[in-house]
Amino acid sequence: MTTEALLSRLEALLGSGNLWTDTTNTAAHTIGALRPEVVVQPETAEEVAEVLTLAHRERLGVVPWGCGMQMHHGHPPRRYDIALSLASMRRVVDYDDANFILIAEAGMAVREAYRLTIPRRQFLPLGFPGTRASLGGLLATNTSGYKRLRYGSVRDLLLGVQAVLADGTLVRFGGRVVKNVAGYDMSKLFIGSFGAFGIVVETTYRLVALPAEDRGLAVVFPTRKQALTALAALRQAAILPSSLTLLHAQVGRTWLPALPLPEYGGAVVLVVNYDGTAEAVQRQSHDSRHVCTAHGGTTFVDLDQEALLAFWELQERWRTTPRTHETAMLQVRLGVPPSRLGEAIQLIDTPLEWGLQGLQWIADAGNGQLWLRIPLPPLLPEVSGTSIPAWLHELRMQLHAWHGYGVVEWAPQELHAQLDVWGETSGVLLLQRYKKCFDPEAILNPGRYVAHL
Amino acid sequence: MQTAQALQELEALVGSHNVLSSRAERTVYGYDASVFRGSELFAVVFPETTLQVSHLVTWCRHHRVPYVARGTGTGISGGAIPTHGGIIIELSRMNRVLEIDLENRLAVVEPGVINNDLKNLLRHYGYAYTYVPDPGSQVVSTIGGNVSTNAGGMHCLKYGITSNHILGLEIVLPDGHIVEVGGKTLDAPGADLTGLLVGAEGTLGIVTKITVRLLPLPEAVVTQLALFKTVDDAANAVSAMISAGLQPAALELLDKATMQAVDQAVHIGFPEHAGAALIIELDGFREDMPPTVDRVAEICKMHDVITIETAETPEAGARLWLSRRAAFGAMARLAAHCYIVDGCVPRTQLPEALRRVTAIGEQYGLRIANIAHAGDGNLHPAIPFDKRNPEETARVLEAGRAILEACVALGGSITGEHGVGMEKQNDMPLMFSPTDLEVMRRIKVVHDPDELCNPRKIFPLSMYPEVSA
Repeated sequence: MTTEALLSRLEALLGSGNLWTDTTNTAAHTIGALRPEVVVQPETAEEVAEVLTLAHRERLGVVPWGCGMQMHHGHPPRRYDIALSLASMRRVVDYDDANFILIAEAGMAVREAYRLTIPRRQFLPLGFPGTRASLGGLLATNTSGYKRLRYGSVRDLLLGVQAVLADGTLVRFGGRVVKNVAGYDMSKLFIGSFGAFGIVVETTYRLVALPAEDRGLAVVFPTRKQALTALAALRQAAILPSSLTLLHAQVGRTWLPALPLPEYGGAVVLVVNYDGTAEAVQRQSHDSRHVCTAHGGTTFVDLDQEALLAFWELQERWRTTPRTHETAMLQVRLGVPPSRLGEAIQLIDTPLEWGLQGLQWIADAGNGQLWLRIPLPPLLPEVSGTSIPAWLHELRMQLHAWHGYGVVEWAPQELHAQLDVWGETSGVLLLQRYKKCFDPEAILNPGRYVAHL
Repeated sequence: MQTAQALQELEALVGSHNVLSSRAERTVYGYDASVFRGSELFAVVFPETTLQVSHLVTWCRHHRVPYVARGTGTGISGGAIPTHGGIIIELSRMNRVLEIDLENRLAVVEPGVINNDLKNLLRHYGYAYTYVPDPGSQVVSTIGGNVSTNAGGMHCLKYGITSNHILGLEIVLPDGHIVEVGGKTLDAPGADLTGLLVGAEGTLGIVTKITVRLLPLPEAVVTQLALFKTVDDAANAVSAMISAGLQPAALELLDKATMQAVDQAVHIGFPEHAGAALIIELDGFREDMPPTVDRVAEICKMHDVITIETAETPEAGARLWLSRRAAFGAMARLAAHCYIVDGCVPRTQLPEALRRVTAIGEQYGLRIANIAHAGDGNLHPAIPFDKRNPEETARVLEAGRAILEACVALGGSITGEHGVGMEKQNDMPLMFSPTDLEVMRRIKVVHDPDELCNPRKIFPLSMYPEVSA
């Protein structure tokens, strides 16, 4: 199919106001070195289905877009004809506050969900109130909220989806009740699927009651070891934090300027967040201070809700800042069982022959997740091309021994092309079989996903 | 293949002490706790290792022998009943707790571990953690079975269903491959296959290892028993509590018919004018308990509560829980059998759902007692009947279907926690379009193209090609 023929077909389906071929729009949807022929912005599930029916018949590569926050994840597409933006699909389908249920289109911004539900003292514990993410984006990338430790992950909150499969079939799975075991729990197939099996166009989430109080406590520890011991003690104590975040000193210095951090290396910052009734929050704050003091915490700063919001805003930006293709930095997400976090930090926090000074990390310590950033020389020397893949390989070998993994979230284009960004993962046999079944022509995000699916 | 030779081959795979084939033994394994009866079996085998399971399914595939994985057979929707002969793969001898990792708050178990045994083990060692899911059958049902049905229980309101407590699985696929999904580390790249496979009712493979989440025991637990004049009052109080931001661990409702049956069995002494009982369990921080208890009492009063009793010790709490725990047993006194319906509606629709259940009972000439996980909108109408009376049995099943239709019409589900199995496979179109079902079935075909792994379950029989006997 020629480009002209494709455009005229798409225009017939969507109208001329919902597709763009100009450089500004296509450039804004660049992935790696690839630009789409056309950006389309359907307004309904049926329109998404029609675009995919056409793409399937013509074997065109389609990349779904939410708000574009995490589009740098994964391999560049093998083929990229159509960028399918869900930006027009942001309607609330039903907010049933009496039953704590929100049904909304996948393009809806999560912050809109907060705006809608907070006045009724409810919230969807994904992202944070200021996040730029969309409901569908968090689902497709399996990105949990900053309070995951207490409120669970996408899996724990998602009740149902409406999705369009690669051949344009429109399906609906799950429902609007928490207890529902009718048939396979198909909604889960889309969590963390990066659009490999279909495009989710509508989501049904369960909401939770908004806590009366939401507070944080930032603590400086002179050494990493002290912080980790305190962390282990906090996990044993009778408190239920909503998040436990560990920050490399440099990150702590930038994010929490009120916190006096020593200039010498080695210090780390622990940020604890708790919510609940005023009494419970006060007691947990008191107990946490006690535990942290006993393990060498030196400076304490209380964070009110506003400070917490600012803290999460910085964290989201740090993790997902849009970058140019030349940004000379390597970002890796490491997953380990929480008890291995100290060893994982030890493993990465060592001088590298190829990286520049200024390695930084932040850790979602309660859930065993760690984001690592390594600045790279602006012009990648030849040697880095071989030493970085080798370093990654060794890092993954060690992480696998701990039942962990490492995912490259960002690398400059040239280096990116040399890396297996996802690494090995369990269940790949099933993912391959499902891909063949649900997208036999491999038109959805072709080659971007695990095992180049 | 000759029977004797097949038995010899099975014995070679798992050892002769792990194969049952007498007529009596085969007959027993044709049943589970449902009202259904299975087809004639060929043998029952008890693998002891994952590798043996893999060898067994490979053998079945080679000889085109259907098989059904089974725990302790407590399911009540016919999920563990053989529909087309073949063998039962009984997992009760794969019952080791492989690892308890308190630092990471998880345990790794084999599928035959009894739910309550894991809890008792954790308690025995004095650990401050527990495995939360507590289906009514927890004393006898296996964790593998719970995973297979994505079992619910009484504490789902606060803690979620089985799926929310499963971190990873090892599963033997019908082609013999052993695959691990999820595990000790969160958010590994790839789709949420664990979430997809939990609740597959043994139709996508055989789960041989399960990584479960452990949670800290709550610091304080308070149980309350509130008696109301009407079911509507009790159900509305439930919605009001949740709207007020309270998050009870459990909210269990009994209607008058259930209360009467319970009273006859365990002599609680419910007052004559009480039309509904609500058991409320609160847990959390010590300092949160007194204000929450007061708030619950206040809300109950706003809904015309007759009495409200509060228990702050485990012993006193157990006494208040007695009426709920004895409820299904008490039904057994009313008739030879009891058909338990499992439907779910949005919580605020519970009063309307229960009104419709009463109307359906009258329409079919049946006396229906109701027990509900009210916080979840999960209702269990219980219909006493005599299975030996075919006319009455047919009427009961029809009434059951009418109740499920009502649940779906109110925005709910045909099953909240018991599963589809054989019982509800033809009710699936109430919830799913033909396209949705066809797409869902693609997963089954990807896993089990030969339709040997717990065959012809979950999907409407009309979706299966006719098989010659």
